[in-house]
Amino acid sequence: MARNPARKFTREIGEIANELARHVAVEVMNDLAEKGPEWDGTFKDSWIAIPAGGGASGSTGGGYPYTIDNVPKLSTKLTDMRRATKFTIENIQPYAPYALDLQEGRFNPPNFPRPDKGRVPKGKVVKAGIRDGSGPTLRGDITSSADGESQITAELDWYRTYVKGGAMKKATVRGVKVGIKAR
Amino acid sequence: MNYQSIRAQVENPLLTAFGALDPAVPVFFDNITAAPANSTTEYVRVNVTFGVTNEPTLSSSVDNAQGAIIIRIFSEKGKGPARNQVLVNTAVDVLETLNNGTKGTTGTYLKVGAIDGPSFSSTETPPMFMSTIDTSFVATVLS
Repeated sequence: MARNPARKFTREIGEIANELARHVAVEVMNDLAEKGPEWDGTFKDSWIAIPAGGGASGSTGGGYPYTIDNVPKLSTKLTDMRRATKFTIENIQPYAPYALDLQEGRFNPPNFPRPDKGRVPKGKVVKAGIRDGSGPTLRGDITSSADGESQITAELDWYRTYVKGGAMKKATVRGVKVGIKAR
Repeated sequence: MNYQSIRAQVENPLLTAFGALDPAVPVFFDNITAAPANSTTEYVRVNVTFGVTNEPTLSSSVDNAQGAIIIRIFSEKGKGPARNQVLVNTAVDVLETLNNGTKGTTGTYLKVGAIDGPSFSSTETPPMFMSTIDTSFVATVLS
C-alpha cells in the first residue's frame, strides 16, 4: 500500500516547528538573561527550557550566552509534535520569584546581597537609592537617592514588561528567522 | 510619541474608579514615593511600563507603544480575600472599559490584552495581603 503523503508532510512540518521552537527558546533565554538582574551572574546563567511532554533528548540549561545546544531536541512522535506548547522557560534559582518581581521579600543584609557575593554587582546598576527596610518590598522597589546604599540591576517589573511589552514577540520572530536560516 | 497621554489613558480612569469607592482607596502611581511604608490601611499601586516603541510595521503608522500595566492591591491581612477581590473587580472593570474606546483621528487610542491574575501573595510576612493583576497594552498616538 502506498504511503500517505499527507502524513509525511505533517511529520516534516512538525519537525520544522520543533526546530524553530528551539531557536525561539534560545532567543528568549538570552533576552531574559540580558534584561534580568545580575548581581554575581548566577541568576543570568540559570535559565532552562523544559520540553513539554516526553521523548526529548539532550541537555537543558548551561549559561549565558545560551546556544541551541542548551535546548533539548523535542520528541518526533506525532502526538508530541502536535502539542501547542513546546517549552516552558524557567529560572531554576530558588529566589527567582523575587528576582522576577513577582513576590515581595526582604532585600537587606544578610538576605541580600548574600555575604559570599560581595557588595558590587557584576551587572549594570540601573538605579541606586534607598529601600524601605521596615517591611518586605519588591526587588526593584527602591527610591533614587544619593544617600542610600541599595542598588538594582534591572528595573522594577522588568520581566512583566518583557513578556507583555512586545520584546518577547520580537524574540520569537528573531528565533524563527534564525531557525529558518539554519536549515 | 506622547508617553504622558498614554499613561493618562490608564491612570485617570483608575484614579477616578478607586476615588469613587466608599471609602475612597488611595492609588499610587510610578514615581510617587508616598506609597505608605508598612501601611495597615488598604491602597493600590499602579505601574505602567513601556516595552517596544515604534516597531516598524507594514502600515504607515508607526507611532505605537507597547507595554505592561501592573496593578497591585493591598488590603488588610487576616480578613480573607473578599475585600481585596472587590478592589480587584474595580481594577478589572476599568481595564475592560479601556477597550471600549473607538479609534478616532486624533488623541490616543489604547487597547489592553488579556488580564492575568489575580495572584495573591501570602508567603512572606508583610503587614498587608497583596494581589496582583497585569496586562499588556498597545497604544497609538494619532495626533
